[in-house]
Amino acid sequence: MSGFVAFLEEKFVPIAAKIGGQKHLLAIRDAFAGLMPLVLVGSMAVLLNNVFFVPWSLLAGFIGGEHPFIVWANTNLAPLFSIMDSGTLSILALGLVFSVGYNRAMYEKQDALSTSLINVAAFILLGALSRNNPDVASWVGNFLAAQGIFVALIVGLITPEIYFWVVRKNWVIKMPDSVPPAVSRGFSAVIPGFIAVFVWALVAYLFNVLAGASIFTWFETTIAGSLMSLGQNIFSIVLVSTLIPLLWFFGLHGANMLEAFMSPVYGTLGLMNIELYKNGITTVGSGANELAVWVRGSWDAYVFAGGSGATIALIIAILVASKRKQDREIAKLALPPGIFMINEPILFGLPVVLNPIYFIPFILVQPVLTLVAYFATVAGIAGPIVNSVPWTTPPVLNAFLATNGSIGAAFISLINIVIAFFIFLPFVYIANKQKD
Amino acid sequence: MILVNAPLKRDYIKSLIDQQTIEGITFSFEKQEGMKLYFNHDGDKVLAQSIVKKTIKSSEFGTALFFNVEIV
Repeated sequence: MSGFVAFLEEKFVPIAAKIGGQKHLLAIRDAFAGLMPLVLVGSMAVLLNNVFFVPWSLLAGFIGGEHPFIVWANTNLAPLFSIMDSGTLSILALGLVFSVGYNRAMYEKQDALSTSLINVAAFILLGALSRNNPDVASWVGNFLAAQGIFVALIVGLITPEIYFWVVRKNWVIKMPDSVPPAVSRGFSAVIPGFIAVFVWALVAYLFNVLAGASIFTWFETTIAGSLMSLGQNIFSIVLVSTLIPLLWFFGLHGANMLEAFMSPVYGTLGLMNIELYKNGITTVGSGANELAVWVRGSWDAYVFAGGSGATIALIIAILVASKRKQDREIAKLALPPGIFMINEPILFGLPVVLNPIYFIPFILVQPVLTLVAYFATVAGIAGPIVNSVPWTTPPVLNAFLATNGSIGAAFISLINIVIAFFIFLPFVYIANKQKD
Repeated sequence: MILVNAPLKRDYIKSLIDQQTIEGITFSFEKQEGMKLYFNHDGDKVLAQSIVKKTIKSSEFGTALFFNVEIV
């Protein structure tokens, strides 16, 4: 293994560092991370409605949709939380275009506020406020939320390039030192902003003339569907599930390298599921107006039990079967953080990373659990992910909440831990044969 | 003492930290055990941990490496 590690260090790490440090990919990663407050606040409001207050809520499933409390809550409380949603989850693409601009400017040491505002201007003028699609999510009248994410990314990345190019040419209005900095900055942004906005106005005009639709509508009807289908392909899902532990095992930062792909595709699918579900859609499939089988939260709910590699199962296997005192001590210490999906103590403490004994189970476990959960969801045994819950939510509970109370989902999450336990168990016995 | 768990690029990480004075804290390499690198330091241990983490993360290979930094 040392030869392979040397190869990784010499050949692969520099490439991985270039990918991980690429400023546009970093901006995408950090922009999605920056949306976290909006996502969690909005999700909490939707979760409360889905669990307690609407006629199709979890509670209504137990006491009946006609129960006086549900009728009262649906009239008096659900609208209140829907209003919270309208300012959070329902404007995520708008937030993203601002956030991408902000992060691009920060990485390039440019004026972040002006860049972000020009990004928003470009996004809106392209037609974000008007949507009319009778086939897919017909109730959504704009592209400010999940339907506008991909265009938000494109606009969010290109607009700053135009803006920075003009700034670097020094085509900016310079004010005397006596002018307050905020005013001076505003004037400096006028020419770069005008050129960037003009370019996008031209794009909007050309799309209207040549395609007879806005870039949003064109993108939604031609490209977005294919991207989403690629994301729902079982091979793509299993590939991601395999790559994540493989990168971690060899000491590479899997999240940094995959995040710029994971968030736009699987994060967007997750947001679309939330939106579909709150509009009463419960069928799973690949068609229009159907819930996606696999979204970002599916990994947290079904696969990352205790962290990447389902390491809570490894901790349990060690506590049950290990005769190595040191390993048992580490497992005891790693259990509390593992319950909340933090697994550095076991990955580095045991260690799992670069440990030949645990290579096979650590790489194998995620694809297996993914396949079980994927087909259980397709078969209708486990509910699809329709809520966003924090990734630190303990296993099983995570699946239960993220699927709005699907008992089948909680069961599959538990079954997956049992499967992972039996995948790790033989290797714990092999480790027993090693000297302390 | 600060412990850096680093499966890859340990020599590189060592060169980033050893005999360096960063934000007023001076680090010196103590020993290596497998993937574990131990560093002595003066000053506050929480600040030292944060400095080591920040230094590795912001380095050329920092975004690619999976590592963690502990106080021991």
